[in-house]
Amino acid sequence: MIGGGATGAGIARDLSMRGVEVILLERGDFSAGATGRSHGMLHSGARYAVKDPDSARECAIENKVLKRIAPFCIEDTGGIYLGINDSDASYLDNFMGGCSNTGVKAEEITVREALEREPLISPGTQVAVSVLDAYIDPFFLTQANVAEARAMGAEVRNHCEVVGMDLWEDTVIEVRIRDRRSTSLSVVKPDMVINATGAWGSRIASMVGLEIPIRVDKGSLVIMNGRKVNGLVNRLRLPSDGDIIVPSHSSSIVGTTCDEISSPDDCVATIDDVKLLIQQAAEMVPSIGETRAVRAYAGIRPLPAEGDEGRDISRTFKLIDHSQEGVVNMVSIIGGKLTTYRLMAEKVSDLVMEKLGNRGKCRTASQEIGGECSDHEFDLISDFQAGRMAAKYGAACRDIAGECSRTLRGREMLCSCEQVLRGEAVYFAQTEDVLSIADILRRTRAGMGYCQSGMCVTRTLSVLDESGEDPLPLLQDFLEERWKGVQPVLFDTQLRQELLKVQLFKSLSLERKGGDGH
Amino acid sequence: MAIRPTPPMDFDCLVVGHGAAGLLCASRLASRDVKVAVVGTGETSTSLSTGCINVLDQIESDLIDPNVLASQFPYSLAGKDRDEVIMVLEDLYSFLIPDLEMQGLPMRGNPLSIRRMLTSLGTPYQCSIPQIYNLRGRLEHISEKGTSLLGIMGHRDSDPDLASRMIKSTLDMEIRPFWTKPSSFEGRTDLTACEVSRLAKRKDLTDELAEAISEVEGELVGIPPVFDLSGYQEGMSFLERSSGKEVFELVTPLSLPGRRLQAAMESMARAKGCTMLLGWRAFDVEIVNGEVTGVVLNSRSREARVDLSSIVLATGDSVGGGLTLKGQSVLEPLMGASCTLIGEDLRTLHAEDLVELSNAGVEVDSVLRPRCSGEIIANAAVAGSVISGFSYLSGGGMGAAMLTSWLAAQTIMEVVG
Repeated sequence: MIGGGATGAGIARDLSMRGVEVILLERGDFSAGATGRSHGMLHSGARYAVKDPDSARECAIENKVLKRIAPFCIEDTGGIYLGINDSDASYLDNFMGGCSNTGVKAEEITVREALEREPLISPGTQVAVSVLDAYIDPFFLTQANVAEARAMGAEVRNHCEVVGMDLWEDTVIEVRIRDRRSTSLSVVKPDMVINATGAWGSRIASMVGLEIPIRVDKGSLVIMNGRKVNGLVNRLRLPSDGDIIVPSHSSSIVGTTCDEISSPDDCVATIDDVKLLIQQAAEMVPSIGETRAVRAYAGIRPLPAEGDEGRDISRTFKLIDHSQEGVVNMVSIIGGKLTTYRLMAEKVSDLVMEKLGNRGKCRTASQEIGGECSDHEFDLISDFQAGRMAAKYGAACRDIAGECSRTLRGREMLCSCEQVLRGEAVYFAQTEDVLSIADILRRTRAGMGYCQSGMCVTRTLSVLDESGEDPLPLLQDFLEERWKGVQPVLFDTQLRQELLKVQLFKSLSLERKGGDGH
Repeated sequence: MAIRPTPPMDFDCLVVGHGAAGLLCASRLASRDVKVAVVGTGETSTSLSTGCINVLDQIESDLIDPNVLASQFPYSLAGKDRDEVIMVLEDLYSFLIPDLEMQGLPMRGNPLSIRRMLTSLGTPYQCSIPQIYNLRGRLEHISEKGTSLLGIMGHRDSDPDLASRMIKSTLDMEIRPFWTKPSSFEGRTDLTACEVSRLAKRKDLTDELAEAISEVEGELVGIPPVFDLSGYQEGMSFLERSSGKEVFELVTPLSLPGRRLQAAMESMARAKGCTMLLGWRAFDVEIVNGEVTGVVLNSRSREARVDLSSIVLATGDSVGGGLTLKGQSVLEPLMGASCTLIGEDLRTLHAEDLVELSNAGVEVDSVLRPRCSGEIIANAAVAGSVISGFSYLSGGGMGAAMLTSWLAAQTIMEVVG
């Protein structure tokens, strides 16, 4: 199993539940690719109802499934589609028709009802439709899948890059891997190889001489300070730029743009993307225009390349059995969405089971990930903190809260923007998975908040580096990576905020390096 | 509803901004019997700083090249060559240091020598006039004696584990970390620096700290800041007397040292006879024939007009709030003073661009007067980091800000006679 995004982690969970012996290899960290750079929208399907009915149907079904199996990392906020000009309003019939054809639940509501749900939306709103969109946290979803796959016996390793594969006639017999924790290469001898590396899929396929036509699209998103909407707010029109606002933890994420790019590795949002997104989103929620943009990032959509352009390409997924091309024990999965990750994992696993000649039914649609977590009260930890932890870690929150209450320092506030306790970071730092500050950030949200790691980064660093190595390079690597996301929003108040941060680092004698970095 | 306070206020000079630059300028003017008021609101950059005055690294370095001085070297405002600059600085420090000491903030050291001290993160920090206990933390001293760092659980200003690792890797020195868990914190883990300083006024915390200090290894012990201005001098000497060790404080921004300097400078200005209008905000300036004639202030719903014969703009840089960032250009919002133009091309801000941007500010003539709508304002002077080229990022900072404020006072004294 190559690739540790939501799909890869989902496949590892699915196959482990069916009794298959799985090893998952992830080049960087889990959910650090397309998964972590999505907007965390659990689609109701409405967005695709008109132009992409297959995707819409899949989303409508999976929306219900995920709300059942991963309730801890979903905020079931509901969503609204807003028509704010005549052309939007004239799209209404088309939209409602598409929804009813694809089984997407959509209900027209009055503007007054819409304003009650979302007081900040444009007073010029003409029509509103209520849908079942929700927010899903891609990081915690992936982590929970990884944790459960492990609990079922799978070996799951991040920071392990596949550097080559050896064929014997028509079969992959060896996969060579480089683990960042050691200098030597190691080898895995699999019966079956699954390529779930998304935008990087053609690179893996080329190692055994295969070609997968993948078109990589960039979708820029911008994180705005504060939660401006209670639920998801969408523009009632054909999918276009800047027509989604997603409430995410304590911020609002505005998405997205759509441009083709050549390589998934150098994919960054630009200041023009940010300005376009803010201007478009402000048409739906005017106060977005006055809000500080905290960070921007560019998601990558690995789309099956089949002639269509950009937004016309279907967002459904494609499963490829490479037997016809001469490699019998490899399958690839491309395309798809975070919302349909489980369905994709199910289809891949079905195919793999069939090829392995095994039987075993998919149980991922009915069984809650990690099992239920009913008790959210812990000694020495406030109810608020306990609730935060339950919403982040699901069933794992019991152990994590235990680590926090074990020592006085475990209850220290590490990141006040995101209300992360030191013990949460310590819990993850003790695992083999965590090698960098960013790994802690993806697992706990420490440093993801308003100040973008300005105040807490040294505290995270102190959790991480117990080994006596030089801690500075870790810090510099992290700041350089964060800087990429800050660069496109450096204007007005966020520029001021960033100048404060740079001054603060200077007063701790952590000066910015030359070039692009801090 | 706007209510005018009575009687209407009138001053020889109004200083806008109550950070280090504004307060020093006002104090110097008041000491020369100028009737002066300071107006300012909110937290200053001074109170968020490390409280160390870091001026002179540039003066000490090779930058004392006459060509550099002539063009962009900020200290060139004080004189044509190094000796002239140093004379002005000696005047400044012989005014400032005794006054701060009187307010409970002893500052030590020859202003012309640079000390390297330890930050709470364990990295070396350069400054010229440290507060007395920081002085003992200078690095030569640390390496001679056995030194330890003591962290206080519940007080987040320093983490001796991380600091000692940083010291090992950046300075190649062995300094051992220790922790103490004061029972007077009652298990709390989220104390702010101010809460710690309140607890430090109680005997039980200082007793516990002194005991912990006496128990750690080494003759020299570094601790995070725990005292505010009122408890500082007495508290630190108590810790040293009771523990029998030398105690130094780590250089820590966003904590008590900056607040101490702010508080001491406010008291100094009061003691010199300045009127302090804190909580008031200047929001409009009347300019008639190239001279400022009045300023409108407000505080919540109250509004007041001040008649004045001169004004000092010491409002700070874009971080401090004296400059507004509109997109990526810099504006001075109060007087509309003309600012450095920034290249249009800062679309992707590289490190150098960010320094250039933070260096943008109000452009002044050789006696620190600003220009509004093309004409020099004869009875105004600009002080501190609001001036173009005085950003902390490019080597400016508190010392450079204070130098300009000293010179701005000179300009104003000539205006008001």
